[in-house]
Amino acid sequence: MAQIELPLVADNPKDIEELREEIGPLVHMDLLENLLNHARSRSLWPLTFGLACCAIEMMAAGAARFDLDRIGAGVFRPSARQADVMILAGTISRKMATPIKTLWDQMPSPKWAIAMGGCTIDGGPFKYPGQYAIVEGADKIVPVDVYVPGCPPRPEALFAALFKLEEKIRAGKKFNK
Amino acid sequence: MNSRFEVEQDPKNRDTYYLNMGPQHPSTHGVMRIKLHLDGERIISAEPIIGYGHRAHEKMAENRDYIQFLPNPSRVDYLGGMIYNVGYCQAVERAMDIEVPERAEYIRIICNELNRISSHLLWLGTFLMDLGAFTPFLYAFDDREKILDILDRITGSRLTYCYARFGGVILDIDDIFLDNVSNFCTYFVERLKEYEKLVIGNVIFRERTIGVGIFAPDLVQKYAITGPCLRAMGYAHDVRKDEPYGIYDRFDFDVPTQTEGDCFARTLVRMEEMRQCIRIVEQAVSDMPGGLFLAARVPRRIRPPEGDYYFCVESPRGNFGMYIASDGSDIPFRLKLRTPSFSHISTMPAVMAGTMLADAVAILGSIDIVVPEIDR
Amino acid sequence: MIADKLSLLVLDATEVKYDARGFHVQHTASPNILPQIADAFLSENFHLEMITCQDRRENDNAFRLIYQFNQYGTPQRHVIHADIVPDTAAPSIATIFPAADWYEREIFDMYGVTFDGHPDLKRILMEEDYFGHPLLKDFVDPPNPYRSEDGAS
Repeated sequence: MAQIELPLVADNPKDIEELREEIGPLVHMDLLENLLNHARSRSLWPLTFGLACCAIEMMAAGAARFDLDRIGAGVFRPSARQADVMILAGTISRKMATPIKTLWDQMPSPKWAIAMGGCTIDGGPFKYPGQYAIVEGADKIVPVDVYVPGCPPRPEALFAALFKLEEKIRAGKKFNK
Repeated sequence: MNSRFEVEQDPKNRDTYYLNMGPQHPSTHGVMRIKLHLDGERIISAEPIIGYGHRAHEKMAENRDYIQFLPNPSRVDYLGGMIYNVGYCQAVERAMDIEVPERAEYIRIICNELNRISSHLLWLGTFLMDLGAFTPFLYAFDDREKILDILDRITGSRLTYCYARFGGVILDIDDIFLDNVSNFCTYFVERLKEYEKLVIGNVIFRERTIGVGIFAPDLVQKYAITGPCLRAMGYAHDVRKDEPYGIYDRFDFDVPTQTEGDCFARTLVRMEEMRQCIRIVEQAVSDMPGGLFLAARVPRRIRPPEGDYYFCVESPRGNFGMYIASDGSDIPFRLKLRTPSFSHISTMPAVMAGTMLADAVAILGSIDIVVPEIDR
Repeated sequence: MIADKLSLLVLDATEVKYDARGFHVQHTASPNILPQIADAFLSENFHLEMITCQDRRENDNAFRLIYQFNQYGTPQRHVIHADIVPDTAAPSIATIFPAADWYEREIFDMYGVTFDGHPDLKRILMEEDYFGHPLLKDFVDPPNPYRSEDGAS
């Protein structure tokens, strides 16, 4: 975040050109980006979307004791078109893989995904020789930003994941997915 | 009042359309899809499409031995995880003829019933949220956390318990646990009255549930309905009473029933059931014997003799059965989980046809489904 | 009485020790008369608790269908075993007990056993265009993009 010093005196048009070259464009978009990222990170709206056991812990995180609203992430949106972050809470079955992809495509950019629980990391407890029904890892379907281990993770772990995601967003990476 | 309409059989001059409810829908409680054929707001037919949460538990059982399958039952139904976990252990114990110490039996009863309350509380919260009330959800989860704290302290997990072992439980309880439990009982009995004031008397709630989603009497036998849905229709059937497993026959409790069979009756039954759970827990706490919590002599290799075994327990949703076919080896030849939600959701075409779209949500919420339990 | 009605239908009936096994009587029946058996149970106020199947092709060259009937109140579990030869159809009892509808679909999905007279026999748990029957003992899941190929279990 470079400080912009606007030229106060502009007697000579040539000087202005030189000055411009020195200080770059007058409007620094990265400041706005920073501001936006800051705002985005403080108001993550998750998609109301539970797959299995972890969904209950996600609900518990949103309920009275843990209260996701404290960090601005408690506004669960039932529609994918209003959501910023998809919390993949639970085992993804192969039958469900296509609908999840559709949901992900319906979400407007910028968007993020949190893989909650062992199943969404690599299949977790349901990965064994002979398994035929699950997707072994959410990253086979959607790009995942934060992984939360646990079976199921405690609500505190989900909080930690959201903090991590906030950090990641504020770090100013471009998320053109 | 809500009453059923007659489905017009002549499709001429009528605009009907299909509406997909799910797989991602807030009130399907997970990933389930219902294909609704609608005429305006009226449901002509409903077809549940399941399998979106299929995790192949049964195949898994055929690939691992009895001990390795221990963590699975609590993930089949994650709301009544303790009951399923204990039920699976009891099934194998009976097949193997393993004696369980008294103390372990009492610990199991306390954990089972606390788990049942927490499941019913979650159901209450989400059911009312489906009907548009957000406050009971916060109330219910607050109380649920209190139960989870108590169970967390001895089992180490909040949701998917793996506490029971063949021949007892893995860790002993202490006096603090018993104190916590009895404190919770005194607290919760008062709290239940508050719930009743908050929910049962509410005009909107009554309008949305009374007379909605009535299970016709002939469905009971044809679809094998069990659990609170059955008791809301006037049958006093409870596995804990009729076919007592563990030591349930030592406790004094009632089986609450209603006769209407609608969403409101199911609510009343579950509310009363929580009160009965507290009664069982209080008796178990006061009678808690000392001694071992895990049988001293448990066979190292779990190999039930060849043959078929069936064991059923009363889960918060109904009659949960485990069918184990053993060929005398370490690994089950076939393990079938008979889950109550599967039976209940298969009645939906018969129950939902002829109701309004908004009632579909109420019906689905009131039968208390857990999707991975349907799909296994 | 159910026992009298069944004695005319089933091949044999064995009393089982309930305390050890969890059910009371085990019957063996020929699959053709399953609808008559179901009718008998329906008229005696029994309900269909579950249907399941075993892949016994290796030893007996058969699929064993297992029907379990019970009644409310005091339990009285009857288990019917009906062996069918692979690639033959079993009669459906879905018109007698609608609960059987989904159980039969599940068995069709998982084992490939077909049922004659079923109103709508299609897959229930897997996708409708799935290729195999996963609970068969010799089922192998072919390599696919949803699998990790690291070989860990």
